[in-house]
Amino acid sequence: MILIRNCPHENGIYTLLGGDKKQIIKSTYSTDGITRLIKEHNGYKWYFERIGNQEIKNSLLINTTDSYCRSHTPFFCGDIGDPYKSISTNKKQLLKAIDAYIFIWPERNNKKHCIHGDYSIGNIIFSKINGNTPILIDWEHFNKGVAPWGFDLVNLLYEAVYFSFSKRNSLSKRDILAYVALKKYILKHMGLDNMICNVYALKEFISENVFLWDGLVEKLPVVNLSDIQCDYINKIDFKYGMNNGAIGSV
Amino acid sequence: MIESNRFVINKFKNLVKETDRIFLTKKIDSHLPNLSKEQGSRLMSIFGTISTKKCIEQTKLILTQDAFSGKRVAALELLELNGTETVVDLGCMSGELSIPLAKQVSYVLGVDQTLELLKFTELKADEDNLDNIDFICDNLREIKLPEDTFDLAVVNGALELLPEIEPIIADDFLYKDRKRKVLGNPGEIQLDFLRNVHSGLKAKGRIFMAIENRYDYKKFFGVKSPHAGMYLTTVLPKWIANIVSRLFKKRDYRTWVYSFNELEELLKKAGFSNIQLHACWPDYRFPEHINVYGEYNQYFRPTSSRNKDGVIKIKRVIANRLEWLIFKKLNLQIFSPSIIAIAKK
Repeated sequence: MILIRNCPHENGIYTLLGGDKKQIIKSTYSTDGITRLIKEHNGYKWYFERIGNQEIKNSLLINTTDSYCRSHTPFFCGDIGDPYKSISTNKKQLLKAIDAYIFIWPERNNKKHCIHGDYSIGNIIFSKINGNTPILIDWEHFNKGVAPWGFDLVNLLYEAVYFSFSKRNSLSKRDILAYVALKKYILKHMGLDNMICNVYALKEFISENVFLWDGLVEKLPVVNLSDIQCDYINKIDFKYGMNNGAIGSV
Repeated sequence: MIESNRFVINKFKNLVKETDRIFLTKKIDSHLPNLSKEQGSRLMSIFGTISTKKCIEQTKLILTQDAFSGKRVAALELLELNGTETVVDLGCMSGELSIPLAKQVSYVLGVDQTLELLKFTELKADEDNLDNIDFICDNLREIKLPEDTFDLAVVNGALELLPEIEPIIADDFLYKDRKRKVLGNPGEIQLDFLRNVHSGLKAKGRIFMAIENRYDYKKFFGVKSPHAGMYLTTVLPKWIANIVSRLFKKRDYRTWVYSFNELEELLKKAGFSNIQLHACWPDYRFPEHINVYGEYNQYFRPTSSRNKDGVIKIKRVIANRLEWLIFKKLNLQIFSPSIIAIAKK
C-alpha cells in the first residue's frame, strides 16, 4: 500500500492506493472528513448509476464509525488536465468537459439538479475504458437536487477564467475569444438558468448556498474573483450578447 | 475508562496516579518540547479555557505545521489495522498519532517525558470522548515495557532524540550553542531502547517507526539538519560529525539518524524480522507521498513549483526539477527525506 495524496484542502482525508485489486482507499478521522467521504460515496454511486455501470457501482465500499471512516473506490488510469493553465490553452479539454456534462446529467428542465461541486478539468479522467466516457472523480461536494441545470458548467468556465487572469485584471485576446466561444457553445445548445447565467448571478447563488461546500467555499476560484475582474467579465458578456441565459440568445 | 483495558497499566510497576489517565514513575522536570519556554508558558496560560485546536492556533507555535500536523497520521494506514490492537505510542507528544489511533484500535498507551504535554493530550482525548487511552509520563530511555503486552509499538520521530539528555526545546536547541551532558554511546542507547520495545511486543506484534533519512537529498543542497542544526552533519561519518559539532556547536553530535540499510540492520540487531521499508516525502511529520522502498515510484509528484498563492517561485522550481530527476527519473529513493519502517517481532 502506498500513500498518494494527503489531506486535500486540509480536511484530513488520506488517499492511498493498494489492496488486492488496485483500489483507491480514502480514510479520515475528522468529522468534516467523514461527511465528505459519505458525500463522495453517494456521488460515485449516482455517477455510475447514470452512466450505467452497475458492476463498479456495486463494488464501491464504505465503512464508517463515529470517528473513523474508510472508503474504497476503483482506481482509474488516464489523463487529467491542468486547471491552472489559461482558458485558451485548455479550450479543447474544456469543450470535452462540457460535452461530458451534457452526456452525464439528465436533460435540462426546470427542476433542481445535483451538483458535483468541484467540476474542473483536474477532476475528469479522460480514458479509453468504459466506451470513452470520461470518469469524474472527487465527488466530495456532491449534493442532490440543489442547483439549476448547468451549475457545474458555469463554475468550470469561470474557474478557467479565474486562472487566466493570473493576478492581472484583464484577459489576453486569445483567452477572451476562447471564453466567448465556450460560453456561446453552452448557450446555443442548452441555454442557462437566469440564476447562474452570469458571474454575478453565480456568485450570488454560491453565497446563498455556502453550506453545500461545508466551509470550504473560499476554495472555489469563482468566489475569489475580484470586483474588477467580475466587472471585466460582465462587460465581455454584454459586448458579445451573452448576458442572457435563454437558448439561442446569442 | 473501561476497566478491562487497565490490565496494561497494571503491568507497569511503581506507577503513581497523577490524573485520571496520566500515570507517573517519578517527577520529571520538563518543558514542552519543540517550543521555547515563552511559547510553552503562553500555551499553558490559555490551556483548559478553550479547545485544544484553538489553543494551538492562537499561540501560533513554531513548528505548528510539523509537530501538530494532522497529516502525520496518514502513514498509519500502511499498517492496515483491524481494530482489536493494543498499542503503545512511544514519544506520543501531543497525541498526533495516539488520538486517531484510539479512535481505531482497542487500547492506546501514550508515553512521553513531558507532563504538561500529556495533560494537553488528555484534554484532547476528553474532547473526542475517548475512553481507551492512558498515558505514562516517563523517559523513553528508562521505561521498562512489560513483556508480551502490545500488538503494535509506534516510534514516530523519537528514536533520533533518545540519546539527548535534556528535553528538546526548539529555539534553544536549533539556534543557540549550549553545553550538554553526555551519556553513553547514542547508537547503544537507541539499540537498547529497540530491544526493550521488542520484548514488550506480543508474538506477532509489529513496530511502526518513522525517522529522518540520513542521506536526505536536501541535506546536500544547503539545508541544515533539523536536530543538529548544522550543514552536512548527518551525511558525514559520525566521528567527523562529532568533531564538527564540538567545534561549532560546543556539544557532541548525538541525534543519530540512519539510512535505509543502516536502519534495517539496527532493527535486525534488535531482534525484529520481516522489515518493510517505505520512502516518504516530503517529511514523515507531514507525508504527502509514501512509496514502498525500492519499487517503481509511479505516483510520485515533485514539490509544486507554485507556492500557496499559486505564484511560481524559483526555489520551488529548482526543487521541483531536482526531485523529478532524482526520484521520478532515476528512482534514487536512497535519497528520500524520511523513512518509515514496519517490522515484526
